Amino acid sequence: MEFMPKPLALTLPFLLFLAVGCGAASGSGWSSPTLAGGTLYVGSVGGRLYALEAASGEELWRFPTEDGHPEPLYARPVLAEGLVYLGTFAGRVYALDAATGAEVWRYPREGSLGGIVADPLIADGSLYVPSSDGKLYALDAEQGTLKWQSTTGARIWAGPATAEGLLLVGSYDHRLYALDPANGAVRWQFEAGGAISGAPTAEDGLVFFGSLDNKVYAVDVGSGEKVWEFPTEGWVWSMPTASGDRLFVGSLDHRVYALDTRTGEKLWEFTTGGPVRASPILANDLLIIASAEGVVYAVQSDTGERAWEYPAKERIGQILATPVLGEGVVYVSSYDRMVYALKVQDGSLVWQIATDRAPATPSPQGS
Amino acid sequence: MIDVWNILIQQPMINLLFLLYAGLFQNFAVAIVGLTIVVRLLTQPLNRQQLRSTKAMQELQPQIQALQKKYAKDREKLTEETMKLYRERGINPLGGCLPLVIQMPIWIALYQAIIQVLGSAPEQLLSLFQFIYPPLHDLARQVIPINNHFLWLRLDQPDPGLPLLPFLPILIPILPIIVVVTTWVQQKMVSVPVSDPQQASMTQTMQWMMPIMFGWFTLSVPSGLALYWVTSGLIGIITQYFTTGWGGLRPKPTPARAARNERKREKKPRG
Repeated sequence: MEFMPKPLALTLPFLLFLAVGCGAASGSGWSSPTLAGGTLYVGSVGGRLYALEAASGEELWRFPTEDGHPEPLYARPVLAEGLVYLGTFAGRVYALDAATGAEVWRYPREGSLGGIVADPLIADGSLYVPSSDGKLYALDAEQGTLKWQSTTGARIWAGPATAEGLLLVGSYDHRLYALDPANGAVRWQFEAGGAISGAPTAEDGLVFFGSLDNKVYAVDVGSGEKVWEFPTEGWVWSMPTASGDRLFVGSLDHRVYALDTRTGEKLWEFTTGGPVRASPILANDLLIIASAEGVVYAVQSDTGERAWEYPAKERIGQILATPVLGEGVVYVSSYDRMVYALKVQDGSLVWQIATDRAPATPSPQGS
Repeated sequence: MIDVWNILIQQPMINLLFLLYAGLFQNFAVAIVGLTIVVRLLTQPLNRQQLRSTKAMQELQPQIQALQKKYAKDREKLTEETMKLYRERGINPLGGCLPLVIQMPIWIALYQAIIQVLGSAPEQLLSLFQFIYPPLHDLARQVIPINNHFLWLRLDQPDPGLPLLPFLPILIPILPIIVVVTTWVQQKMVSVPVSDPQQASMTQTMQWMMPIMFGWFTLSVPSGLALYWVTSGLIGIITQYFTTGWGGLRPKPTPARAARNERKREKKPRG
């Protein structure tokens, strides 16, 4: 009988399991798509940015190409002046030629920042990039050089917004900062009850944002004073959508709430089958809601009454990325490595395309 | 099945980790050490059985070695006689393995809990919400994000090492080295001396290979997990010591060493 190797041999599979588990710990990504000039730019779960013909789903280019090394993508690609800007979880910002996908510049040239999770913002020739290292970087959008950087007390996983000449950004240090866009100086800061993980939305002198303390806040942009707060039953990770006197916001409690922007009073709520991380988007009188359960809902924006859902019976992959609206079509990127183009009117499938394959191929209607 | 795993093992562990983090100075490294101790205490009956089995096997070695000498040329008879000996002494040769198998899911859950609560990747943090018990929501709200810094470590990253050698610009990976040492010591303590040269050589190889493998893994896994390995290893060494003493760690008297010792003893009275 040979006793010694037995416990050891039993430990081996455990070690292998850990090795596999550790590899999976780095994250996959949930980059939201962007639409510009008839082209859909969508970051895949596999860490590639695809430029697709919005009408057909035909692939135009991908970045990196097959030879390149993909990096997890959470941030939405941003477009301006013929360039598409891409922040990666590996902590690099790429400026690509929007027509060809060729790299124009990258920041930093050597090394990396903290992982980029939040959507960068482009305004007045500057690209504002929030990072997991707790800093907001202001880059020259054309040259890719650093203008200034502003440091918060924890990771920044919420994208910035501009309002009334201020740059507004939330941090995991529980604070919303109002910065001077010229130099990053702090004008005011507001302390929420929990980390801020979703981007703020500004409208009519108020800034709205959610927090991991389950609440939605409305703060006066001029003074940084709280106007109202609304409690949900889950973390509020999604960016609110404002339209006139209505605010729509998703929560990890599976619900989407319609609130009065002035008072924070609840107008209606709609319950989905899973957490809602993606921001709801408005398409005329319909509100499009992407739930993490793998279902896209359209509800009447004034009543919350269901208009349609896709798919009707089955579930597609988890949806954490905010969909984007085109001309009568809504584009949805899912964890099943598919991009779906759905008609806004009735939720019928226009096309779907599998990413992370070589080459990505569209299939019109049905699977 | 996944739900059962989550509700019975994963969820309690994650919430316990939160409580420990909040209660132990909001220091995640201390919380990991605390959780490892709690898990070790809870699995103590299993550990005890494993330790007893090791001890019994170690005590039985002289008889087994005698059998191996006696039936050196008849392996079938040797197996038969060895099994007979075990039966007579009421020892199950697999008794040491079973507790290890039962503990594996707990280790895996512990690892998952550490990674989940650190929430370094957005998906991990996002899915953390569903694991937190409602009464702990308020606590989680206050302590998220978890502070993952400890000494020179970022607990969600591998140990970057320290420049301990003053004249050489080399970073020494501290945790992997400690993991190698603690694993080796543990392996050595539970080892049972064998006389079959082939078996002895295999045992020797495994005793080196395992610590090196653990150390190698530690170079690439989050240091929070390495901290768990170190803590678990140290507790293992202490409990093993109180059950079997230093066990296989005691140097074996080789014939040459024995003769040398004998000569020394003879010289001493004359000196």
